[in-house]
Amino acid sequence: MKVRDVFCHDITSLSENMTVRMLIRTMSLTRNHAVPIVSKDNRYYGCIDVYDIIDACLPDYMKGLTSSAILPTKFYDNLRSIQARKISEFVDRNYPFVSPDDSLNYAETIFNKTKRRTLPVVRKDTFLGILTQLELLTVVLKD
Amino acid sequence: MIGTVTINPALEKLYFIEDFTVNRLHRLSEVQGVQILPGGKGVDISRLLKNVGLDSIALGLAGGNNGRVLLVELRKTGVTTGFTPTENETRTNIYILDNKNHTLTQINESGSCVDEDDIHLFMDQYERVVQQVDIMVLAGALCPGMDRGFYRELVLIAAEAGCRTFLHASPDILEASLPCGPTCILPDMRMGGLFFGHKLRSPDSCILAGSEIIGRDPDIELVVFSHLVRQDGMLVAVTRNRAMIFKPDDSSYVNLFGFSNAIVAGIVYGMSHQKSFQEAMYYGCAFGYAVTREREKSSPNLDVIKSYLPKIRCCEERSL
Repeated sequence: MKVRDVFCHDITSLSENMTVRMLIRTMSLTRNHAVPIVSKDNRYYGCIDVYDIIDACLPDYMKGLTSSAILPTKFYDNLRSIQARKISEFVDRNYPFVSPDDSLNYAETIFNKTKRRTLPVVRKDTFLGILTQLELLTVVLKD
Repeated sequence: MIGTVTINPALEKLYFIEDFTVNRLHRLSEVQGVQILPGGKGVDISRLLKNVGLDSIALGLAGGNNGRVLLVELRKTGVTTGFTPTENETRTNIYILDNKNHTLTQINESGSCVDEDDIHLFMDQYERVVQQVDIMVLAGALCPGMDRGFYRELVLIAAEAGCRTFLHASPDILEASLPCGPTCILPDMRMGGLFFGHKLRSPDSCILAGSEIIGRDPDIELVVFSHLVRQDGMLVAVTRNRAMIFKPDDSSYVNLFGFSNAIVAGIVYGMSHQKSFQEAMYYGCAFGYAVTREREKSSPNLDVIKSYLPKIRCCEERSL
């Protein structure tokens, strides 16, 4: 089986000019922890994971810590302060993605290696949809 | 690629109840049953096109549990979605079909209001998707409180991207949006009323209204009137230089669910295959008449639709 057989044909995405507030709103309403970013000329640009935003809000002295069990109040102040900033500042241009022709085994390897739960599906700069690890596991069990 | 926009979609529930009576308990058996479908004009058009092998991207606004179910069901049909998520719940439309008494009872919710953020996010998605489509279909009702001329901006953005547009909506929305240069318009006259001051009760009045609108908006190439279907199955099409009246050999129908949406889908199908307006109209008629022959809301395949083509006649043609 290939990625094209299982991915979700949903191209809901944001342009890089949107704000962090709009990004969080979109994540919350779509229940996706990662939102693909597509430029105004409709080319895939990258992706933002909620952890990219969390990381950006952590005070400098906490960055690099593997566990942040107790978040300081400063974290929420930082989140409020970046809400009007453009998401272009936070886009991960190297966020992993898969193509429709990739095998599911390859996709699962990417999920495990990168610890991401959502991967954009891209062909020649065109964003086609998303593949979630849960979807992949569900399909494997049904097969 | 085709794009469709459904600003105010609906989760549709169709109940098939023999001898439906008010003030009575109806328990649905397997024979009678219920059908749950993603609905709304643009959504219907995307589904119909997919069934004849044309890919499309369906855009719009959808929210809440109904919105999620609608999108999951729509994607199951193979349509790509790019809906903007909203905080408010997508509406439900209920249809009760009684095949014994030949009645159809409809209860349509008006839909939830949307806020500025919803519109802002929708426009962001629309402006990008329109770059990759050849024909954009803007169809159906707007959400309560929205500017009635909302489609105007969408048509202008599409034109800038070199994309042709179809407008299929109620007269008040069309009147607030025009002139803006869509390629084709089809007024939704189910609620009756006037269209640009015209009572559209006969083919003549449709032709007069159509040519007037084309005169006002230099970019409109085709105006289609489908509401006369109840009178001998007539369809009226007006172009820049002629008017045509189409009729099927057999104008009987089981129901008129999605009739006008199917006509739009057929014209889009024809135009995306480089057919002339007249040829595209034949496809529009064939799509339309094919969906009226089924008990359930259907998406006929291309073989079924093509079987209707020889049964449709252009019974009158006038130069304008």
